[in-house]
Amino acid sequence: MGAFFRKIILFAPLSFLFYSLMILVVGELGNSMWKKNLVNSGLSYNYTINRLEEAENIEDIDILFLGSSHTLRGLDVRIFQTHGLKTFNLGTISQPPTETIKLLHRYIDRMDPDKIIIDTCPDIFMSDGLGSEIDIMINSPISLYTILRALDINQLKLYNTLIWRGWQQAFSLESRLPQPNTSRYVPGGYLERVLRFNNDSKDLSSRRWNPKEAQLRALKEIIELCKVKKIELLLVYIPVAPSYYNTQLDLPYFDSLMSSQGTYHNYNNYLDLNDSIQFEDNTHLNQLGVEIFNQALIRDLMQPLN
Amino acid sequence: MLFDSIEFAVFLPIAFLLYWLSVRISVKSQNLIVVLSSYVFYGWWNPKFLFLILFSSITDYLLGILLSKTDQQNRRRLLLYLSIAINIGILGFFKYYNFFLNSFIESFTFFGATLEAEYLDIVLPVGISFYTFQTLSYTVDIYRRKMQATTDILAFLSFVSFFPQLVAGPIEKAKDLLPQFLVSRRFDYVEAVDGCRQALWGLFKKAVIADNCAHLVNMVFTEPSSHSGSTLLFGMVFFSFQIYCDFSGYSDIAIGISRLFGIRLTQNFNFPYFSRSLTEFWRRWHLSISRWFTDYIYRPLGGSRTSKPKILRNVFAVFLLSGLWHGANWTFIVWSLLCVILIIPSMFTGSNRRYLDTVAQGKHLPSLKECWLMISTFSINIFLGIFFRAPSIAVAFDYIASLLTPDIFSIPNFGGHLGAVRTLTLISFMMTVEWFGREGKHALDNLTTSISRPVRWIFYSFIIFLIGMYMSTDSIDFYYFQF
Repeated sequence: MGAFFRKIILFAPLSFLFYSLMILVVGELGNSMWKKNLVNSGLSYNYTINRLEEAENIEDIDILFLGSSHTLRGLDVRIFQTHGLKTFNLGTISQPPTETIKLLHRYIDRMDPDKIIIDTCPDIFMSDGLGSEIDIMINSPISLYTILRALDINQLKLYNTLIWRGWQQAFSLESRLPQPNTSRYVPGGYLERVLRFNNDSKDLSSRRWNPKEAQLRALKEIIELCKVKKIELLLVYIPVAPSYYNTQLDLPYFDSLMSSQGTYHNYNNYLDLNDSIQFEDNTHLNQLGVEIFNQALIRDLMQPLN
Repeated sequence: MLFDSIEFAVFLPIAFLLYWLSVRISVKSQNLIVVLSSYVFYGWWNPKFLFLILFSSITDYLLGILLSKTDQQNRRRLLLYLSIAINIGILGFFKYYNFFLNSFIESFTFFGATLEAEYLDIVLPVGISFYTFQTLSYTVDIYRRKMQATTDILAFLSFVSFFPQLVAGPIEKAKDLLPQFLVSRRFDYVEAVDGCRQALWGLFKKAVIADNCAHLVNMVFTEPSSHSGSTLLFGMVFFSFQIYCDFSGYSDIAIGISRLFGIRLTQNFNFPYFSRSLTEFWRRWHLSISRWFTDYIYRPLGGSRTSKPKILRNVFAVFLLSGLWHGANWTFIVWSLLCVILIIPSMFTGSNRRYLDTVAQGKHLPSLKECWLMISTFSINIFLGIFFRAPSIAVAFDYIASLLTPDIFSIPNFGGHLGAVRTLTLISFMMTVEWFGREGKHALDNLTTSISRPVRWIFYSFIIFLIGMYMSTDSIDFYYFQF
């Protein structure tokens, strides 16, 4: 049996070396068809690398925004600046509460916000957080922190991406992932998109809300953390296209559940927005919609809703 | 616990180490580790299932002892019938209660009467069809005086619950497997290394080929009429590879892991897609259940050494039971009928004994005739697969009607071509490896004699890479778990 174990001990590292080299080869040379369990492009189109780099130097802000693409494309730090509010947008793709809590632990003390606003749309509670994790991983340097997070999520795609990122870093192959010319990064974390109008809101089928327990637990952790740190927390449902909004069957339940967690505003109910004019697609405001929503939010922050 | 899960990756080394450490103590301690680890493995799905397997095991253990202690034929027959009634009763209740109830009610509805009955919300225990047949073989073989009953309860529990083959076979006959648990196992380096190789190849077939095919197959079988004929045609091909790689992949993993534990299981698949006729195909597909039906149903009925009407009856009985064993659905019954219709001519003409060897034995490539025979046999099988996979007869006919349309010549559409093209490429790789390994007991069996160690290790690492890069990340149960 000794010989058997010796062979295994010899084979395992050699095999891992071959495996990781193949990841590098396929990651650099393969097209998307051959990168099934490797994500090294696509998700980067949200300037996450710029956002995370800037986040390392942000201190003492008034409001910190967290959440999914609804947040990073829906909360314009410039509009808040005009009202004298220093804000930072730490939204990432598909960021569910399990990811939000990790980002909070990492940045909350240095940023020391007076207020935290988190986007709580129903879909995000149904996510496993993989998309957000990969978005962060491919846009930040490998560290013990990223490795621990990969182990925590425990998904093959994440491990492969981690290996690819490791090679990139080891051989200084890093080049900024190509960013599209339809959007630009605004210092403070906001992602501004070229103005477009939504024409997707037809034939939408109704959907049920099936949240993951882990996401609901993570939301409670966020609330607890904010209480401990004595930071005011506001849960916000950022507007989506009305025709899309109305396809959700469990909205009353969702609204009552969120309301029971703390201060919660569903802006889909407060604002009269048009499917096409104020939206870029079914789930994202365009710049016209962002302006209306942000002004309403600022007004409510200054003078709370009843 | 699934073979391709993280839990199993942790469980297996622990069970392996405990098992081989216990060899220094006694055979009983080795069997105790087998039973405990098997019960942990099985209970991982649902601990309640453990009561059922324990009940089934103890019943047959006691009936086996009683059978061996009496020479009175009537009493022996009674004990055998009791064993059959209990085992088939449990299987029938869990697997067929709702099916027969529904069929009964529908037959009354057909004649204008209305019946009301209560359906039960029954959860089918994983692997029940497999271990029930295995324990049945024990009492039947004792009744036939082909083996002695064991009084070693731990060995018997190990035989019924041995975790590598517990939930999806191969179905082992008691006289082949039980004696292995009565003696001390010794670690065999060559067996263990080849076991790892076989399990690796099985994992590749399951995680990469079967699971990726499953996504494409589910897409077309959900609503066949919304797909083009060409997409449905490819859907049939993908299903053939899904079911083969799922089941043979599981068998390879089971046999490979068993070899790590010093236990030899019977070969369950012998490269069936390289068959030149349907009868050759059935000699190479799911061998363990074919052997079971041959020994306990076909031969007792007279086999093929009887009159032609009786041969027809015997073949029909075997395929009907085989169809029903797969599931409580009329689709399996139609599937078995079609198999009988296609096989019977060769039984009557004697051509069923053709092609007993391996195709293109000792050669790299087959002849044109062999290619044609293999392709035509495969084509028949993919057609039969429609009835095997469709959730109902209506969907199966809908599938066939939608298939036979002019757009069968169009480009297939699986919601983007990437997944389908990638899967076809991986299938080609798998079939190439299997072709060159077809004369061995598994696809990588002959690798040690044909290539040097560095190349071999690179090849194994390449398979590991293919698993890591292309396995389906959605957890998909083994297809045969439902049976």
